[in-house]
Amino acid sequence: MSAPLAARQADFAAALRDPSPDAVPDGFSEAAARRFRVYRNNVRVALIEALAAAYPAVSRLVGEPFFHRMAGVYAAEEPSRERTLNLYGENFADFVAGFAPAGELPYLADIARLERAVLEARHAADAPVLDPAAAAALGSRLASAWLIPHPATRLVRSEYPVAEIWHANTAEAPTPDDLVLTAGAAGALVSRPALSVSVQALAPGRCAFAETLLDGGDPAAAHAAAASREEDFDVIPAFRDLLAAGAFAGVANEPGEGG
Amino acid sequence: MPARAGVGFKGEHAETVCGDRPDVGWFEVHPENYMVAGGPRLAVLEELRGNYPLSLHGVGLSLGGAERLDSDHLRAFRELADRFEPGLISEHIAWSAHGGMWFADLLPPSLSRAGLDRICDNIDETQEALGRAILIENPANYLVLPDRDMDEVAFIVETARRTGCGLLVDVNNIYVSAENVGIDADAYIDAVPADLIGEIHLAGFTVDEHAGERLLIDSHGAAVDAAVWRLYDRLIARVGPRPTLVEWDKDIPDWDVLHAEAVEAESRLARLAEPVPA
Repeated sequence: MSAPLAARQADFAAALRDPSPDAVPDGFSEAAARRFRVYRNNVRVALIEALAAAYPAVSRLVGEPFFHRMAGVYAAEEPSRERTLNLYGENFADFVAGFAPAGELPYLADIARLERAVLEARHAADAPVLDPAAAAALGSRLASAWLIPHPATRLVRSEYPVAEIWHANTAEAPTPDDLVLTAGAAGALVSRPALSVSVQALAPGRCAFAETLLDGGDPAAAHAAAASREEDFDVIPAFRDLLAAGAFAGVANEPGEGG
Repeated sequence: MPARAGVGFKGEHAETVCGDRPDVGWFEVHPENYMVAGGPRLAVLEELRGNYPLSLHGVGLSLGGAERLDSDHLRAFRELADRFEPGLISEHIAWSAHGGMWFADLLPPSLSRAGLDRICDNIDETQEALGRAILIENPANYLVLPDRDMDEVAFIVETARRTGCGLLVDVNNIYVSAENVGIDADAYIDAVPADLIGEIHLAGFTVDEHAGERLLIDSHGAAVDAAVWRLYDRLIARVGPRPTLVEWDKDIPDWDVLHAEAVEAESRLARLAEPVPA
């Protein structure tokens, strides 16, 4: 008897996801068919609202009605494969990059990538943050140490000043009096030093420095990579700010350990 | 769980609730919202649990689904239950998943013989995995499925008798269903056996007018309606006090507004029923 039940639910599910708003499951009475729209709408709206909550800056940049249309197209293509919507929208940034009506905002997909990184950072595993004093205590051994990235740390590369654009378009952050766009911006560091997520702009030298460390390179290699991008790169404040942002969870004895 | 009024916990109220510790009997959350590796959400729930009894109210097990349960999801549910030691665990008789997709909505369960067998197997598996009995909740109905063999009360009562689970009576859903599909709400309220009822839900609905048809939507986006309070009084007058949750999930009001709903429920619990031993 369970085969017909499975078939009936499969039919219901197919009608829910059918692009035609008139699709209804087989065998429904006229009255039931009219009411079916409630479920169709709930399913669609749940996904759109999850995206709206995760991508507030993208929504603000394009305006809510546009965002809802764009998210609706994505939701029609991408059902949730998880039993929660906490991390729904894994491919949303790629979708935005290819969404022709949003082509006027070339940086929009990078803002979406940054917001995805913020979402992942928020829900990432807990881990202690490497204490700057503990790092300093390593002395000269620090240059060849391997730093374990904190599970929440993300680096988002972009040729646009994504951190500044994000800060100017999220309710959590105060809008800067003047939106100073860093010339030659290179990316944004996303980290979770306490329990709230922080987003910082990175100039090219600092971006190369952070990227090398997060990829498992030691501080000496990171310094070299940064200096090749910025002649007067100053490693001390760059390192200090990275530690203060809670980018690392600890120091490893072997490369790749714990990371 | 105390037979007091509880409140559906919302992140928007975290600061007030954790900071001021208002006098609330207990809180309820959807475990799915806490199925994350770490971070602020779980930290807030830890703090909440430190100060109040907690109820886990699942929306993702898809007990009414034709498919077997998702073992990863069941394991994640178990981990949260182990960590937060809830006083109550509940789920819906609805289904929400099919073919590897999750719809994030409570879809109408099949009130057929086959549907009854399937949900009993799913509840058995859930209770075995969790090591305890759960409560199952009646849904808000917008339509009647063509394959129905019995009415909803008969379905949930037989399910509870067969599996040993209890019932979470959602009074708003009974009212909404009565208005939408023409069942008798008073008769439904009167038919649920008192010994099975472990929890009661109250919430607000919204009215949807579409193509000349009036439909009540279980939106959890408004205050509890007077008609739902009346049904609630009728229920607790018969069965005695039960843990009673006020849910408000959309257009979330200030804490004081939501808290006032819980205070109202608690005053009815105190007024209408003699205290009975737990």
